[in-house]
Amino acid sequence: MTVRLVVACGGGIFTTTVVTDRIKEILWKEKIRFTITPAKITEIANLRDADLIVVTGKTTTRNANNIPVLIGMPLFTGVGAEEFTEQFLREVRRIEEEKKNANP
Amino acid sequence: MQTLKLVLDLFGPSIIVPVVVFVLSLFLKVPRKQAFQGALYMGIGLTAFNIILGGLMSSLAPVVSEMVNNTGINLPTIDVGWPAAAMIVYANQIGMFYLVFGLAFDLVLFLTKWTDTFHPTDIWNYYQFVFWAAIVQLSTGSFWLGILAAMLMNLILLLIADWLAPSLQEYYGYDGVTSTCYAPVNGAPFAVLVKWVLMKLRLHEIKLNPEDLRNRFGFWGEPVSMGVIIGLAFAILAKWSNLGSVDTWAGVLKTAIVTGAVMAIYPAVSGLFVKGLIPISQTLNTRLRKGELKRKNFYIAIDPAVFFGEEATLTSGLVLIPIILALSILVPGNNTLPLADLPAMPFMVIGIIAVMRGNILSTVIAGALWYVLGNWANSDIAAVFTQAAVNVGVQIPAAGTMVTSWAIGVSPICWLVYKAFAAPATVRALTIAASFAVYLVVYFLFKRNRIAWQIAAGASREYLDRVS
Repeated sequence: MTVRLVVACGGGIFTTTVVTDRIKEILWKEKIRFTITPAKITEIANLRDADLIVVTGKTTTRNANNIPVLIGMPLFTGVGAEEFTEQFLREVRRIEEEKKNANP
Repeated sequence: MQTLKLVLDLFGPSIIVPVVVFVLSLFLKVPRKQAFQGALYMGIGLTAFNIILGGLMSSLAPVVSEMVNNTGINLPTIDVGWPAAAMIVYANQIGMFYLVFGLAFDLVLFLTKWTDTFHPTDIWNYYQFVFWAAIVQLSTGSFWLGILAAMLMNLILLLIADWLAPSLQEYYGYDGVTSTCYAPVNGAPFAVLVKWVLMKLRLHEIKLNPEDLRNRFGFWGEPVSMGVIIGLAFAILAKWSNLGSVDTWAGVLKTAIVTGAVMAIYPAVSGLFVKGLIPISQTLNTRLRKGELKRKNFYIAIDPAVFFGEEATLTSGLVLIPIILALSILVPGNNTLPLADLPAMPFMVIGIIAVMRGNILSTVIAGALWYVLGNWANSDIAAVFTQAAVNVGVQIPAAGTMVTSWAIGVSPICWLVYKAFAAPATVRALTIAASFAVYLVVYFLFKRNRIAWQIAAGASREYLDRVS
């Protein structure tokens, strides 16, 4: 099962690039299949076709299609990165499970 | 010196910039592979942007010149976005030189405790003021005057960063950081004044509902549709007298797609560009967080993207986009059609919103006023911006059409420095000395009244007590 991720920041550029690279490292190490699409924070309210959104800075924006939003700032600054990585992997594994159960 | 110039000209910026970035990265202990990849991407981004800009200009410039000729809207300057300013900076020797020299200068300022902000982690955003230094060089013919101007703008920026730091930290909830990006923070001192007036008028007490506003202004947060609609509107105006023919409509629709394409392509290309300096920024950031510097209170400069998504920031930015568009047309003295930099609007209010403690109405009022001033500054330098762009190989196909980067040009503070340095030769020494004197006076006033100034910029006494 491929997990479809979206990484979003203000311009979809600087912090997105950093956080995307970190997420790739994490998921490669765990041998999880994934795709990552960059986006702007202004776009996340109406996103479709994704399983999980990681935002690089704090935001209260929610997704209208109930895609979960995680705040990935720790991957950018390094502060609290380990806790975030655990939380992130839990979420990714849950999504993997859900997808397996949906189409066996 | 002559040989060096020959080598630089022969290889050109797309080779020289990566080499400089690679060497600088290794010197700052970036892992070799990351340093190499980053440097490579920077050269690629530089080249890709130049090609794309050429394509955009050849389709947009004629429409804009038609609009100017056929309607009363006199906006002959196209906002081609901040990547154009970055390209000009790195295609000029002053830009490459300041990457190394500015980093050293910043280290000296930090280690001597002249400033509390550690600037080099935000090395990517140096270009925002180095651009103004590049046009100082272009106007005066002097490389060293350009460097001196860059140093003064660097000093002013760090003063604002020190001043605003606790307010940003408290409001956005990130300890130990600040922003050293000109576009987001240079409106903050102005906002302090506006806030004082708004408090007297009791307007600062009015609270708007961000959620409601966001739903209403959500369209302005979708860059591609916004680009298409703006292109459509301006192309229809440009060809107003001839709307009966099918040919005209073909042209109108094509223009709309081109302006949509601007919005879609820019993030991708500028993403390549940024990659060159990310490893430096990240490596320095990690080294600082590990406590390599034995210093208690300091602020790490961080890319402003982390502030962008906060509710009031996002909302005020979106509300300001149509207001700025309207003001650009209605207020005399502006010559620029804002376009490529419009999606950056939430970035442009970060300093103001921190001063206003998230009050949307106050931020929109201060932002609108500030960017009217900014429009004048930007319009004043459109001609020299265009000259700088032509010098690095951008072709402008329609006579009378100019280009600028709105987010970089709308900086009244940099404009004042530019004016001081590019003043007529007879008074130049005086204006330059005066600009340094003003900086020093403000700097020492800030040092003496630090707490009061930081409170005026939005921080609370409780927060200042906690962090100091």
